[in-house]
Amino acid sequence: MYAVLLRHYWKSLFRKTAWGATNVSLNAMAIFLGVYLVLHCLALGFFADVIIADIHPGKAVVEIANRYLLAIFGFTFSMRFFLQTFPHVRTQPYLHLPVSRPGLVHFFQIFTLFNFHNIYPLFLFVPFWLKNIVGAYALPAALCWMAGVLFLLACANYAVLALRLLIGHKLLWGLAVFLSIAGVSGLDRILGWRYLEALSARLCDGLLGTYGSAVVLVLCGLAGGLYCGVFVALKGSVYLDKQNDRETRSGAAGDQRFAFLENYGLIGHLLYLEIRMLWRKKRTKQVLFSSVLMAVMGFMYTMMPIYAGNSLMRSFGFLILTGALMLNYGQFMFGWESRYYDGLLVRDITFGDMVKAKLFFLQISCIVLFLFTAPVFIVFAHEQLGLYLGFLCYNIGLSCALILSVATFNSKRLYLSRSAFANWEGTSIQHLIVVLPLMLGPALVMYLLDDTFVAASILAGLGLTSVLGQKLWIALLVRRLTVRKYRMAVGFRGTGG
Amino acid sequence: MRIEATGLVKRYKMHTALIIDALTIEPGERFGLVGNNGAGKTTFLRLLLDLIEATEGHVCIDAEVVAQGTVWKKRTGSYLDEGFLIDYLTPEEYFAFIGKVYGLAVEQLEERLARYRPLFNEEVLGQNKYIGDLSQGNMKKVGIVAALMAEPGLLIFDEPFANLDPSTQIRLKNLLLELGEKGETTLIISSHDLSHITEVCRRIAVLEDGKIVQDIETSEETLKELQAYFAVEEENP
Repeated sequence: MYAVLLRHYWKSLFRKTAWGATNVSLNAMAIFLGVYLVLHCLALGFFADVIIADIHPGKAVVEIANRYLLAIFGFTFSMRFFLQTFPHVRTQPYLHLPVSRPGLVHFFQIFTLFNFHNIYPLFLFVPFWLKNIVGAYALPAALCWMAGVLFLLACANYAVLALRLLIGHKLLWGLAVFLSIAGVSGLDRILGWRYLEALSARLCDGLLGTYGSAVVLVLCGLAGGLYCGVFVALKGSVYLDKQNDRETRSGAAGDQRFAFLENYGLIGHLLYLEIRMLWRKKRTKQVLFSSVLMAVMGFMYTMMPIYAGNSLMRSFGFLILTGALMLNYGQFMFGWESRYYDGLLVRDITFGDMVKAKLFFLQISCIVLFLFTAPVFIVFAHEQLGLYLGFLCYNIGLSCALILSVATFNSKRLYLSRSAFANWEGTSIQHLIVVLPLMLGPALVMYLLDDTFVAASILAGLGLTSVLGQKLWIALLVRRLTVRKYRMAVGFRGTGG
Repeated sequence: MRIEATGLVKRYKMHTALIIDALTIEPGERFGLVGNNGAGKTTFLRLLLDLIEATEGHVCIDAEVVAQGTVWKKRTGSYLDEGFLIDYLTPEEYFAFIGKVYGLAVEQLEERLARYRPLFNEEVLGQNKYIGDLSQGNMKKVGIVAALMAEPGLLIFDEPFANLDPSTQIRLKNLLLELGEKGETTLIISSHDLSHITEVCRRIAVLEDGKIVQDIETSEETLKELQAYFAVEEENP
């Protein structure tokens, strides 16, 4: 049975509707980045002993490595949270057939393990294990260590799934859990408690010690517990009415306060449409939510001393502080409307109005994020305020227009309420690639110019020039949309017809 | 409004979905399309609305090539499928949006909504439901009323009667007949329901493998002729 499901999933990936419209060059870039990451991990795994001996001379390599193991898992956890995509298994076609429903859930859960985010860490751990642990320790101990690492990976996998489900169902609870994890691990580092290191050392030394198999059992139990928790949460979703995000009007109350936009002509109407979409659809709401979290990560990249000399990471940080939603949401700006794109085309709505409304929407999103993040910045990092404002101008002027141009390349239908276990396709590695060119320019400016005032002025100048030339951007985008009209409409219909 | 299709061809790789050398639909005409699945009905309607690109030829609405202008959009109301509806709006919000697009005043919008209210059977308006949560039939009603809202000179519907409850089918049929009698609206519909379409349309084209194989003025006999035509099709595969 699972083999059949696997074959179906495989076909769904490679057949026209799913594959035909995706961007080949974007996939090629993603593969390139993946290979790069794997090679990095391999190198790190093989030469970990040399690196550790260099930083902590005279100490046992494995002991040091064990201390940082949990931190590595913590780091990959945040990467997973934002980037790991879960397989989009459609269950509806199987529900009326004699197929075990819990079996469908098990299939999905097991399938999530075969994900890039679970595989690339192995390229780090396996070489390290072969070089430093196998041979140095007794075989049972070495096996326990590896088993422990594998179970930790499984725990991370299901913990991300559980956290996302929690966020999907109970937003505030999810937020609380996420922030407390982030808060505790942040405090642990900033205040120098180093509990995480102690725990990591305890756990991983334990794996190699006399009671290694017992520790393995504990980790196995933890992974099993998370698996069961996710299973219980997903069990109900094999009913049709649970799959589609049916929401009653009650959710609409929140966006009524934007109704005043209707007084501002057709563009106001279109803008109001965008806001209602963002607010009412589960998936767009999730993008909004993860964007806010991403913006919070921006504080880390811009304020933490370890990134002080790293203009690339700082550029990324400044970019997402005000532009997280614009970057995440904007690159599908037309795809979000794929379900009713035909309906827009047959009406008398010009591409010009459409582009203006979308551009305003993205620019306003930058300003809103600015209002939220600015107070923290003024209090804790006022010396960087210049750069922060420079990036705001850069985002409003240049990034918004560029990201909208990128959006015209996306002609894949987005299913906003299609049945799936964990409909969370907000971001993946492919989607972050788009950010690279946007952050490289400012990073170069920051790298070359020591004077932050000059760098900030250059960025602000770029942004303001772009705002002044906005008419040109709009004309370009309209031309692009006109050229790609039919191709986008076919892709958005999702049927190839 | 006058519709002219000239040398119209739609090809998908090797498969030809539609070939129409010349077809003219006169202003005020009620034109019906029938044909089995895959005959090219929806393809033709999508070409009319400039939703897909013609491989060859073009369609003109009131002498304007649809792919090159947008004036026709102001005077055309259409509903082909759910892809025309904005699913996360309530029907009222959707109608308000459509009203804005066609430049209707609020009073006009309300007056027209009241006019079409009977079509809804008290099931659509004031229900606090999003369009995406309505049944297929009710979604179709929303789409059809949205198309009628602007009192357009050209109405285009794909399978308007399918999925509707019997009362609404009859109401819709009468409504279309009424519009047709006034002679101001050109109507183009496709349908599998031979009896409805022969009642509503004055002219019927039969599509087969992308070609118009019959183009007939409806008369008393048309329904029987069509039934015989499609029955024969079935017996000689």
